Amino acid sequence: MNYIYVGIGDYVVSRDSEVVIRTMALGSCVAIIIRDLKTNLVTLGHIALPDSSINARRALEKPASFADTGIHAMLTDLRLAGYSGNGSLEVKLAGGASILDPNNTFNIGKRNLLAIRRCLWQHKLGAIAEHVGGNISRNVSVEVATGKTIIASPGKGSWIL
Amino acid sequence: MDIMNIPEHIMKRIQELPMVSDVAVRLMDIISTEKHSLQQVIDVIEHDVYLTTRLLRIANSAAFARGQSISTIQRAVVNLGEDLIMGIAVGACSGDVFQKELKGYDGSTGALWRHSLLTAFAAKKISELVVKNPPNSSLAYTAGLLHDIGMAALSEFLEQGSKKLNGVGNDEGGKSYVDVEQELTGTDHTELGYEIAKNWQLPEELLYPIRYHHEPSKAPAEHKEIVYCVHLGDILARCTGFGVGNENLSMHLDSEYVDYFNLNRDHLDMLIVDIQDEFERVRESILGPMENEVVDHKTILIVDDSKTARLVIKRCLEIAGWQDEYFLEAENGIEAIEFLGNHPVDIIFTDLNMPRMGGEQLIKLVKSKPEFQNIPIVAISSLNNAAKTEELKLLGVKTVLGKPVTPMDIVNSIKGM
Repeated sequence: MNYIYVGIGDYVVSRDSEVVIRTMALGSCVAIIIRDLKTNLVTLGHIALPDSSINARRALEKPASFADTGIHAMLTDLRLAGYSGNGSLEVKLAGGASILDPNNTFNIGKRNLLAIRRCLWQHKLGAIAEHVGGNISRNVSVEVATGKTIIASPGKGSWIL
Repeated sequence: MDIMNIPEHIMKRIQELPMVSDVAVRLMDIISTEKHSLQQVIDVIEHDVYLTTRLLRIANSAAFARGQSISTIQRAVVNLGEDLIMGIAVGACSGDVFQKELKGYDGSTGALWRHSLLTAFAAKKISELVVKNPPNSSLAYTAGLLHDIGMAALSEFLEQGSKKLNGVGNDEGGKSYVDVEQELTGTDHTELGYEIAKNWQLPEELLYPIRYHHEPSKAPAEHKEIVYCVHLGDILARCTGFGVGNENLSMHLDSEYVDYFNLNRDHLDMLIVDIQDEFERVRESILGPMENEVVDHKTILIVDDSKTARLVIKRCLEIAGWQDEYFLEAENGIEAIEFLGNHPVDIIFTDLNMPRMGGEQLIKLVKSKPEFQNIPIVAISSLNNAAKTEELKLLGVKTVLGKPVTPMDIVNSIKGM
């Protein structure tokens, strides 16, 4: 197997059956995994923040830093790679942990998830599986060949999403 | 300083920890004074051949050299910047204190180092947002580097109780992670960190953030700003997902931070991205390739209706060096199938005679499903005869063990997996 690591604000599109796509240590960040059941194309984006209006330049350079520009870029690239846009997509989400803050400043994970769900709805998409929120850090890996998604967390073991 | 009652046997262990080198302490002294020259930094580094070589190597790596060849320590210092040099010096000059695996926290090799670097980046950035009496930002950086040093010493005393630490939450009013450390060992990582820092003869300003980074409101008034910087830096590092281990994001946030910082959501959001960018920029040069950071723990499913039998197998594997693996325990075939649907299982150990669904039926089911058929199975049979063994092997079982099993049987059965 060949591993591709996706850093913060990056995304990958692949249909190479030898590839496993991975992200390291998702805290408040969220991994969006979209798979086209017809073509076996898989894309994984490592989203850091809810909204691109905070930094337009970064949105151009690393669109997957933000929920809105990230989802748009991932779907555009899926189409370029052969997805025919006929509603055969399967979406999974992982990450979005939060630190409890009565001032509501540090709840980035929660805000990320809200923004991601909203953006997915705008594209008529919704997640079929999620492992999100709480106060744990997660590593995610996706086998492109099967779409099998595994989450692991220090001290908590690993499980299939 | 409030009174600490560190148990004697733990205190003794602290004395045995490797010392941080003189060079690193001298660098801390210089960098934490407001007015110092670049030459002072260079003078200290030049006396340490090991550090000089390491700094030159990093300065010449792809992330920093920008196509130029850097051959003098002067150029390396300018290129890397003082903070990063401090980071490299502390990491390189403290034995394996930052690098070793911290089993009590489920922290993998290098995890403390990654968390410390991220906290340092974050504490420095956040120190620029302090409203009144902003601390020296290099001091905030160094304090961030060292804040969790006590974890390196406490880890070994937590190994038995780490499961208790796993369930700690971050709700207000709930038990904090540090409280549970106290319950389990009689001390906590902030107390030990403080003692280690004193032992290493670090500058006094660094002692307070180490001691109070989880309870910043208890810090002496004149040190509160720097302590809050490290408190938030630590929390921010956790938000990026890089905690040390099972404590993850379960640390309490002191909401009084609003009194010290001019910090709104937008600031914080960009800070999170900035520190991760900075980390990703330097990680390859000073931490090595990302692949090295992934620890693939195996998941082992043990199926037996006797709790004792399951425990025996688990202990034998742990003794044989499989202590970092995840163990799942099922009482029968039906429970085992449920686990297989939810967990990425690498090896199955199964008994044969069990209520509801026995071992043979489980083996047939596993071997009939394409997603499970490659998982190696070790079967434990009370009918120790050749015909039964042959029958099980035909079903696709890798190894058949006859009861009573010995630890050596178990260990040999999975050699090479």
